Amino acid sequence: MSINYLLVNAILFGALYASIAYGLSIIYGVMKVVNLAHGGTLMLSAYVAYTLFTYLHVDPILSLFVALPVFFVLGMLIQRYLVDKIMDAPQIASLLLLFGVWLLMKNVAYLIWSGDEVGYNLSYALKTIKILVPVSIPRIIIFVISIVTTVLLLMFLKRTYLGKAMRALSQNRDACSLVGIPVRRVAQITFGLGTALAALGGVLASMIYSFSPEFGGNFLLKSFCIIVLGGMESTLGVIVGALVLSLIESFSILVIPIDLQEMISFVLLVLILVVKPTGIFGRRATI
Amino acid sequence: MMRHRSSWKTGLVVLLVAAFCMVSVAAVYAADVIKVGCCLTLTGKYAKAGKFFKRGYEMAIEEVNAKGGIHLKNGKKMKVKLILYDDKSDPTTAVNLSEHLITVDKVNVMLGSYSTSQVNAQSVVPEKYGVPYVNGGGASSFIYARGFKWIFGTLASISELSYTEMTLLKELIDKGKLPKPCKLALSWENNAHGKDFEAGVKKAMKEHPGYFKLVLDEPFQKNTKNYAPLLIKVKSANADVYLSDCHFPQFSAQHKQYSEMGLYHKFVSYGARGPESNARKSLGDAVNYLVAAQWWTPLLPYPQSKAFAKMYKEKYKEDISEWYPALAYETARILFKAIEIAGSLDRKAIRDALENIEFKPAIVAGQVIRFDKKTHQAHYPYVIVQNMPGGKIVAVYPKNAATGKIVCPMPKK
Repeated sequence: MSINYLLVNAILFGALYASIAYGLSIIYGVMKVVNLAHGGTLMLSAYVAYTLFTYLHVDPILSLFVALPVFFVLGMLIQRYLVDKIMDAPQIASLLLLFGVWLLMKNVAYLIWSGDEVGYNLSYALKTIKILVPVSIPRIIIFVISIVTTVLLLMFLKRTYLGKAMRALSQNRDACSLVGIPVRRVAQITFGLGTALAALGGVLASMIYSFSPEFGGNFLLKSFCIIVLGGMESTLGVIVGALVLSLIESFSILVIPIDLQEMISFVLLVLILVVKPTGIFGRRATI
Repeated sequence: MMRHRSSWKTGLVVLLVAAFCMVSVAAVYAADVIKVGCCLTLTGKYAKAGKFFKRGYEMAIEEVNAKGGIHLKNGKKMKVKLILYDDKSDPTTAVNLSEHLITVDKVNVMLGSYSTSQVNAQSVVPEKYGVPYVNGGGASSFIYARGFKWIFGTLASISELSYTEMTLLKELIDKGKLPKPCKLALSWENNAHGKDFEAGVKKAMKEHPGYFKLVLDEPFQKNTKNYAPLLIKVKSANADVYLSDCHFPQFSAQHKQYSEMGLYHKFVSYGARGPESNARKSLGDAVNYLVAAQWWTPLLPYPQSKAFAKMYKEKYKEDISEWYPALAYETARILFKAIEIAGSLDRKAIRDALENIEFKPAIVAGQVIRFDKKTHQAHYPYVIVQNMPGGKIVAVYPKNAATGKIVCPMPKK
């Protein structure tokens, strides 16, 4: 059994998992809203990349320049006209609302792209570079983008006024209002940012997976596991959680049958919630 | 006063006579048409297949109606009317609509939906009411292992698919194109579909001792996204042949990783996957030389198969590349033939006719479709195709259907 393959594969998948989970993490961290429409955003952004590639021959990396602003605005609109209306209601209201948005997104996708399983073939899809083992270029790109996203996100949250406002909002919403932080505006931008980050994950995943309107659900479940594992309000925790999950998934084949591999994320989810509900980074960590 | 009462009575009589005439006309009309009930996946995740199935059913119905309908024993010819609903690719909706078709629309017989899950759920209803039901969309053998009396399936089983591939492998071993014993790595989705596939492989291994050595037999979950751990096991197994049973999304993700990892086997097959146009769109040249077993392909050289492909192109102004409309067409034709053999709309007579039918010339490989007396699932060989460079696909097995020779061992990239 090649340990190198398992290790490299785990690191690459960890990066993909992280890029998919950032959006969910930041929205929950700041607004305490579980964005069930996250899976729908992953799916719609994959279709945006597919459409731009198929009809205009735009590389998916370049399509990020279209997808990210579009989904940022979409996220802001969802927050302003839907989520904001029920912010003071019990959490079940936002869960159901965003689940409804996900269903709506699925049906829109069925209407526009039908239920066919689609994908696109990049000219460099199967070109490989040897990093211990042969690694394809799209996976390297996904890894690099994920790392760059982590760094930029951390810098944004630590060093900019808006980032600091988001962190403040995650700690005490009422206090933010008292000190003059435009809470609703920051919440809108946070939801926009979270949706744009989900779109980033969707576009990156579309480079290696085929997809249909049902795409995204499986990744949503993994994202839950990752943010619980890393600490629900920690950006750094997301990448650590993603890496831990992918390492355990990959190396588990040495001890358990492959068909139990998908169970690992759920076992981890339950274990962490029971044993250490604050996640790996504990209580102190915030976004 | 008397005059008023008389006209009231006359009016009532006229009304009753008119109502009687309307009922009679409706009854006569209804009796002249065979009502075929069907719900299909016209929207939802199986919309593509549903659209193709609708086309196949419509072609068969137009064909039979153009000849004046189905000939019955009483000398009458009855036309066929399709009552079609959209089950939205949802098993619960398929069940509800089937109930509606039988109890409200009073259909005589039923044609099935697409996909194992839809057929599995829906088929309970015609079984309950004793309505003959034929489908061309559910292949998993567990649908037919329930001992149902009214349910028939025209898709040959998945175990037959892997068995046909193993028969081809045996031929290749005999010709010296593969070593003997041939080391086999096998992976399959951990569900009824995959278990059927594994069963076919093991049946062939038992029948041909000394030919194969199973070096890996690994189930995987359908919702797996990360295939590297599985493929690392495949690589470590050092097999000559890799067989994997999966649906399209799993095939696409798995083969992409297979190619990225630079794996190589002399013969690779993902069951029925590989020749789809979407496969080449998403995987490019990585699909070259993959081998796939199909229920039907336009490459089949039989006149009836070619005539169907031509008829399809004329009607829908596009080339046929998928098997769905062909099996739908054949499914409807078998049902109509059974009605003709029964000679009436007596449900039991139709069921008995289906049980004993030997439908030929069929457009599938082997040109004959008959149902297993116990399970009611059709038996016929698959046609095996291979992807060639440049997007060409050739039929390589069985011999009487071959349009080209198999390339084995696959060239190394």
